Amino acid sequence: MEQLIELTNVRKSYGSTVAIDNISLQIPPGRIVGVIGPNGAGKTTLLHALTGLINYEGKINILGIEPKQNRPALMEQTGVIHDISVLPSWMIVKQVLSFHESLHTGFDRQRCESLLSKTDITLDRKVKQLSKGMKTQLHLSLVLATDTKLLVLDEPTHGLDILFRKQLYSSVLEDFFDQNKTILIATHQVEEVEHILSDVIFISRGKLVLYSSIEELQERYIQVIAPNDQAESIRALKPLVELNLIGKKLFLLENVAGADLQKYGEVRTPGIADIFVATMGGDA
Amino acid sequence: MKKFLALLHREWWEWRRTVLGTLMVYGFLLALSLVPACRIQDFESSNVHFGSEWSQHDEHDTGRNLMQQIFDQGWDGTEEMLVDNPKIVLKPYSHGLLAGFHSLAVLILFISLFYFSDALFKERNDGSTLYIRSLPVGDHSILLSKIISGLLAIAGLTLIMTMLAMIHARLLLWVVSSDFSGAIAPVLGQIKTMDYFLDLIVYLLVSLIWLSPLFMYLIFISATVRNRPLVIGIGGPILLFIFLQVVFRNHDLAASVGEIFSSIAAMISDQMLNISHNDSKGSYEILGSFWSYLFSVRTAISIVVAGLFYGGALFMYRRNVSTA
Repeated sequence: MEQLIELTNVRKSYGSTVAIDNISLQIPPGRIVGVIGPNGAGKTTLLHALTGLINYEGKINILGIEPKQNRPALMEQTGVIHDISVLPSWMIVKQVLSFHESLHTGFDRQRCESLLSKTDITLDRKVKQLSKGMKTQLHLSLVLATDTKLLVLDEPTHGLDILFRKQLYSSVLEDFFDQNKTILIATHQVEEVEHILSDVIFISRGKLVLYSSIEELQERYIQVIAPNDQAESIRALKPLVELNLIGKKLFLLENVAGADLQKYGEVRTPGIADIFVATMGGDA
Repeated sequence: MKKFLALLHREWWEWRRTVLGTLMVYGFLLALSLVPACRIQDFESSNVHFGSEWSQHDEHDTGRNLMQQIFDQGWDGTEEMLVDNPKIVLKPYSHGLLAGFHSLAVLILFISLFYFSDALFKERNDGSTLYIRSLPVGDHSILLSKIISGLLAIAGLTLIMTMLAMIHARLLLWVVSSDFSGAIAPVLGQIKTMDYFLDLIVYLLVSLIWLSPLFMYLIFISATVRNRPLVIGIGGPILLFIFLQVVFRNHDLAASVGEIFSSIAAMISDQMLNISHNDSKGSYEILGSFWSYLFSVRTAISIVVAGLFYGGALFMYRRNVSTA
């Protein structure tokens, strides 16, 4: 299968600090990939490398383009939303639209205005007069109205309330995603994206800890909630995580069949957050 | 090209208030200066005697005689005398323009220091560099759009303000004395205005090239520092000059930087006070040619130094995504 994104031994360091440490992976089209890691794990650095914002060692190939060598060509095919509000604050909304339209051949202004009409944003307002949520809505409308193959979201809900968060991800799913497009979402708030992801990448201290599809993950990891007196038996299976509940214990295990655990207690599929905590060990 | 024009348009949106505000304030100040001029009485009502100490030169003697004639006999025959001796009008007129021009240059240089030191820093500081660079446009285009916008603004402001100053000078003369203004009008009418502005454009081109190392240095600072680009950009070299002077008793660096400004001032002074007469057309050129300055060693050195700073600015711009 042709890959949309290919990373080969990608490394980035700032002096003696290694921000990305020899990461190699391949992402096919039509996936929604969560780049998950604790603060300072290297998520933003990885996305900056992927979007050609910074130099790096190794090779990155996105849609046949090396980002550091031809960022403008890559950006024709890529939409990016960063963790902070990055639209020029002095601009008027309609100026932002005109500017975006002049630079992006795939931008559909009518669609953008239609998306904006569903919000409280008016074309004659200055960006600095908009709330943080509205700025994100504006940026999202620009990106969703642009015909691209890859969408990169770097902590897009940072500082937004729960309503905006839900709205943002449902907009991305409804108005952008299809089987030919890929979305990369970097976040450390796993819970809010786990329901939409098809794959996850766990990063810790610049290293790739895990890259897997959700299906594989759910086959690989399992949780069991068992009475305290069953704990010793389960410990023999070398659980990754053991948590105390009221009168019970929760275990997370890797590569153990569900049928083998049912005799100990209630078996269930763990959430990405649980697996993330388990695989990160003390880093998360 | 369409993308580059969009980047230039964006710069215009961002800085148009500064540009138009500068023109409005300048225009307002010029208009304001006409108010006290209205209170000045006509020469005819003054009973002033111009003594021999007024000037020792022949040309100025003619001027002295002219002024005395005006006071003694009124304006009759003045126009003919001025046409016969046009330099009586053209020299002070050139000096006036030159003085105005130097003031303008200082004002515009001051504004350009703010622009170039802020050009990249501002968007790095508010994070909008991340948005601009998420668009399909190259770093060279972004940097060049900033630089060219600044240079166009400097050239445009200088030309428009020079036009305003020339109109102001004529208005001022008319307000002070309509008779005097009428008397010198035929001489001023012989000035080749179009040539003057074409020469001025070449002068601006030369000046901007000679100043380009300074502008590129400020762009480099703008792409590099985390705060206060203007203070660091100007204060840093001043501290370095002081350090070199105090520790090594060496002021060569300061002198060579100062020479950039003095050579530009000398260039305009040399060419503006060099009035030439075209006998066949009966017209006067009050501004000489600047082409020889364009093809000079200083121009070549300036381009090389500016290129080095440009390379440094591009490197830092790519390295320092934002100030955070």
